[in-house]
Amino acid sequence: MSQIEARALTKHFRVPKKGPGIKGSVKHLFAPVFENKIALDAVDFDIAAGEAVAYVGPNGAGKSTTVKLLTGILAPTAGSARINGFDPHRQRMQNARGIGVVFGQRSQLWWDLPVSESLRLLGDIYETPAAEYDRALAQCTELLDLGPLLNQPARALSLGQRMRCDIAAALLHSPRILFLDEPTIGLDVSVKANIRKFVAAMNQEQGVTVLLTSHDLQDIEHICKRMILIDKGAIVFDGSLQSVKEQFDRSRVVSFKLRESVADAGALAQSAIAEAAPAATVTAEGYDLRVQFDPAQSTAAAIVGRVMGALPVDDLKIEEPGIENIIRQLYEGKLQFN
Amino acid sequence: MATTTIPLPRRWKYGALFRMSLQDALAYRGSTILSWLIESWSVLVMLYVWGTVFGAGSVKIGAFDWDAMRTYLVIAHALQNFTATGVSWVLANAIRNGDIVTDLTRPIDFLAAKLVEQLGSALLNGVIGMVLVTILSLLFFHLLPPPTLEAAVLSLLAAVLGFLVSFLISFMLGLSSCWLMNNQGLAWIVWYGGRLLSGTVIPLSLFPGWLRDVAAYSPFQATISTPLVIYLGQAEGGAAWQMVGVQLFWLVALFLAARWLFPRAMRRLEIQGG
Repeated sequence: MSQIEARALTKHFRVPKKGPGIKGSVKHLFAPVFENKIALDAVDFDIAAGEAVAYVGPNGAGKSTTVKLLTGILAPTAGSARINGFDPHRQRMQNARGIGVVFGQRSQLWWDLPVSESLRLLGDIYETPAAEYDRALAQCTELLDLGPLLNQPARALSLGQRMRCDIAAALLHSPRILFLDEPTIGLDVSVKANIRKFVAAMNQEQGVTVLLTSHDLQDIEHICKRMILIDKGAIVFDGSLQSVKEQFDRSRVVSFKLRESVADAGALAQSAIAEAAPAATVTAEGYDLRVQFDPAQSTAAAIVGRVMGALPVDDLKIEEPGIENIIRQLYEGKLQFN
Repeated sequence: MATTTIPLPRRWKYGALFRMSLQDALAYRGSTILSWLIESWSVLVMLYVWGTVFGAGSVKIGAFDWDAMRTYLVIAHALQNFTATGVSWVLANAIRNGDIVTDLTRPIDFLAAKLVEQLGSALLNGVIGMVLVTILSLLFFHLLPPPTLEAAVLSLLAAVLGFLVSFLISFMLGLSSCWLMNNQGLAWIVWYGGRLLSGTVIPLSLFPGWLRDVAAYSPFQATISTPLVIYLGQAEGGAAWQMVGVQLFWLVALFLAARWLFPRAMRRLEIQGG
């Protein structure tokens, strides 16, 4: 049985449709018109215990709505979800015990209380056994470097400090599932790296299932092996990150820096690799030479060897297929899915 | 940071939330006392107006002479401060800006959590109210004490029940913002209607017959009027117990209504983005 399952999970919102200006507002007052907005349209997926899944899509795609449905905050318009066997909305309290939730834009710490007090209160609310709580707190304190923060009230923390505390707050009851909704939004590079490392460790070493929504592609690549791409409320891709790369980025690039300008470098390179990579495209400009090839047909080694035999190469770089490129193309509507 | 400490014992979750709300309330005790004193001007105005009505002689209006009326007005104001909770405002805000998500992801009963979060300030308000009223009474107003010990105890119980009734009304008012995009209008209607029908401004027994009937069948009279009528000894023995029985009826009815309303409100909840 999968730990998280969504079956035809659907959420509609009722959006008031108002005309512009005062006239529209007055009209709406007497004859309100609502528009049905489909935030999530019959989405299906299964997530097994211990997986780390990136839930990715452009703004307004339905990511946050999905997290809110799975955590029991919102009720589905149609379809159903199961978390650890519970209906997250109808069995909200039972479900809440087994999950940890972090919303990057909100904090669950009490504003005026010292962080340690907030965390202890959460321990009480989740009825976490004292010894287990202490073990979890010690671990989070060490890995997220919370030591200096625990005595400060939440209002005195910077965004990065607060987020580290909020992640600890979501984990002190040792949930088997962790939902992270934009956990690194607005954070600086070092805090992001710290949080990524921590979440990846929780997933890999303790087997905590992670569902992560993020616009930060480094978060995704560091933490997740599987990706669900969602657009306009529907899933457009669900598979391993590796297969995303393979499916959507069939080209790899080797770029060379030449020691001297060679008049017909492009043609020379093209003929040198003609045998090894007939479909490769070569572009040359001044000292720069780029060879784009299909990794299924030839290897970077073959191309590098042959080009270096034909031309005076100073430096070279093999560009990995970036998930970033793929998602950017999806966002811009340039990618078609089959 | 490898210090070995004895694990802090777990506390009952609602008890822990109550302690926190009390700490919070105590942190703002200064402003609470200040707002009590500032709001008292409205009582002073009422006392002045009613004082003129009663004049210097031994005028009696209904069951009230000037001593009883003075006592009524001052204690009604104190009870009003004690029973009024900000929960409707808290809920409306949390629903509008989406902060309600943090409550909903926790394994805690929502209604109970919101109640204990209000108990701290209610307790503080109750204590401050009793102390202030006693001091002001000794110094200036010379209010009437309850006629019997039974009246004293029963009116205290009635005040607590009144708080709970008031809380449940306010709680449901807050939930109404799941249906109304802006529940401010409704909130004002309930606030002013409640002030009148609870007997905060004028004792219910002085209302014209039809309005008295309306008030008698509203839950608001259970919040201010009931504890005061018992305090003044205007209802004693069986009649007083019967009034407490009516409070209990409203408490149960409103509790069931709130329990019925909450899941329906949550199904209407829409938090988009963030």
